[in-house]
Amino acid sequence: MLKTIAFIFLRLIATLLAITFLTFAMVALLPGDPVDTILGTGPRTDEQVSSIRGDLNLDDPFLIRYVSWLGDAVTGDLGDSYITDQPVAETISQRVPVTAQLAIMAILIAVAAAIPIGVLGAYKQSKWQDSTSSGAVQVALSIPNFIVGIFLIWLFAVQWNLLPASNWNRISDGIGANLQSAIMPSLALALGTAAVFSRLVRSDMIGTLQENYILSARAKGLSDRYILFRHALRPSSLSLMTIVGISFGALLGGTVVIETLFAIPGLGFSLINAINGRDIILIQGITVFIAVMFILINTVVDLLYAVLDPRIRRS
Amino acid sequence: MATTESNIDTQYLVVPGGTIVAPVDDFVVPSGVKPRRKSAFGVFREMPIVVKLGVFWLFLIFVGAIYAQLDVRVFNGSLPLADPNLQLNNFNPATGEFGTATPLESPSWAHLLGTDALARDTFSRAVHGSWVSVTVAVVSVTCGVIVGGVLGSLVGFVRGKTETALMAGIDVLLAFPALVLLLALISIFEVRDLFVISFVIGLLSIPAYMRVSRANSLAISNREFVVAAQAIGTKKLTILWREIIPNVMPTLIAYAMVAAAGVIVVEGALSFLGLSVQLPTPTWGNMINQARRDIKINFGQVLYPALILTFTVLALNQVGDFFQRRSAHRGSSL
Repeated sequence: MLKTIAFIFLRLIATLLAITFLTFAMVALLPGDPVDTILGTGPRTDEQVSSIRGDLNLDDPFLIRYVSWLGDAVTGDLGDSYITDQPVAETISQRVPVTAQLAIMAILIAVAAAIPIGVLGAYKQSKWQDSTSSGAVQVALSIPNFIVGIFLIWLFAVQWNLLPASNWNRISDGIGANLQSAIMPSLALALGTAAVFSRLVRSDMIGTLQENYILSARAKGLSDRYILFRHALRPSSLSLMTIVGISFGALLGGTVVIETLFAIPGLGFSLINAINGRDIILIQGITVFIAVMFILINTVVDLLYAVLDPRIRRS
Repeated sequence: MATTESNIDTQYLVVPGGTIVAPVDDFVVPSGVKPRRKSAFGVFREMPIVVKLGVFWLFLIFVGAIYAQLDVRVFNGSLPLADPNLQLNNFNPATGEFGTATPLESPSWAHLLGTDALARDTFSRAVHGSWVSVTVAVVSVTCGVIVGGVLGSLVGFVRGKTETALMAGIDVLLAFPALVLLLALISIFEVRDLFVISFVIGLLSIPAYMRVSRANSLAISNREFVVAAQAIGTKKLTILWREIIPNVMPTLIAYAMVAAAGVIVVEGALSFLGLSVQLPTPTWGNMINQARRDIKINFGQVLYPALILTFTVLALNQVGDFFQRRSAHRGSSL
């Protein structure tokens, strides 16, 4: 048990070092002078140039620059954007809650939809209910999320005029208004995720339903519904938890597209804005932040798995 | 001889639960007689109807992509397909006349999928757009299958420290959300060339291919025929080349189709964000993005490229799943 946890932590540190190094190298190894990239081709003063060279320690060797950048990053200083003059860390901390809300809502919707569909598929295996839901799941898996998003906009905003197509309302503007602007983007993110989840629940549960303890529960005369949701679903919750963790990373990528589509001021949208404005420092900061979040979430899932699964816990 | 003439695959009994049991007779393959491989047409006939439709659709897309490129590169636009970038309501220097089309037309015989906001022929743009998707898919699959397939088979067979080190590196790369890494790479280096974008996507997809091929190579390395080859002193490289890789490939190619679907979606998302190839080159993603501004007037212009993209992804997933099931079946009967 301790060995597993120690291994997970070692791997975490190695991965974090590698990821930060890669992100840093990507920017640092840009062809040409970084000052040109940052300032663009517009007019510049010597003062600007020397202040950038000083900020980025451009006169130091590459490895030393990496170490000092990493040191700053660990203490929450990801540098300042040269376009907006705002600290990158400040931009990120303003944007994160929005993206987190979308991702969490999407996961909740996906789990809520996937469990009944997956359970139904396993319970009615090879019957028409199963083939219909499997077919629907296949289609849902194949529709890119931005297409789902546009379709939702067309349906709910253009045809029925029920929901706003853009205009993000923060939670401080009232829960109702906030949910109104958050429901379409989270649905768009949730569809593909729900398909992945329900596939997993179905195949997991088909295995579980063949176990002896299910047979004995049936022999005791428990109702099918009770057996399905109380006895058979429990072992699947572990694998479901793992895939929820993994999907979080995929969702962070998905939010980039969805936030741009719905003009939501989250992390992904500001990444796209940074890209369009060639705000290198901000691109670097957001990229490294998303990657680190992704790794941390995966590690937490691994740890929980090690703690919760008796088979791993005992070994 | 009758047993060797007919197809080996069909003679295995599938018992409920998915395990495959072979009749005892079939374990005795007469020496010197290789079980006949099914022809491509034979495989096609055995497909369920949905998969057949998928193959047919993919074939159409492929032909469309080649046709569009021939039109541009060889025939200078003289093949019967509208110029994808010509604004059909404006003065046309080639004919010396003003076009008669209007922006955002509905489908008609003259313009099969109508026209977009700049009065360009949407059908032609969709056909030309397929070239981008096909290129991205083909380049990344080639990178993945060749580099990822060979490296994965190698480390799965050789094991040892090389494997540990390589797979740890792979884990690090897989720990990055691919779309974000791709965005950062493409934006920082300002890449707009189709082949460079395809290649970057291809490089990023290698780790996943390596994982799949390594897992299969691990399983195959323990099979009797590999042990037998080792016992008679076959060189390791020969075993890898003649025993391991040919048996890893069917599963890997099935995976490649599903991965290609993912890659096409990623390129679609990039185009949609305006970060893929330079405008006005048509791609399905940027067609959707441009048309969404006029969603209130003409939803069709969003719908058609969206449907084409979705059908392509669905078709690749279905065909990939079919081959995956088939190779799993074949693998257990090896």
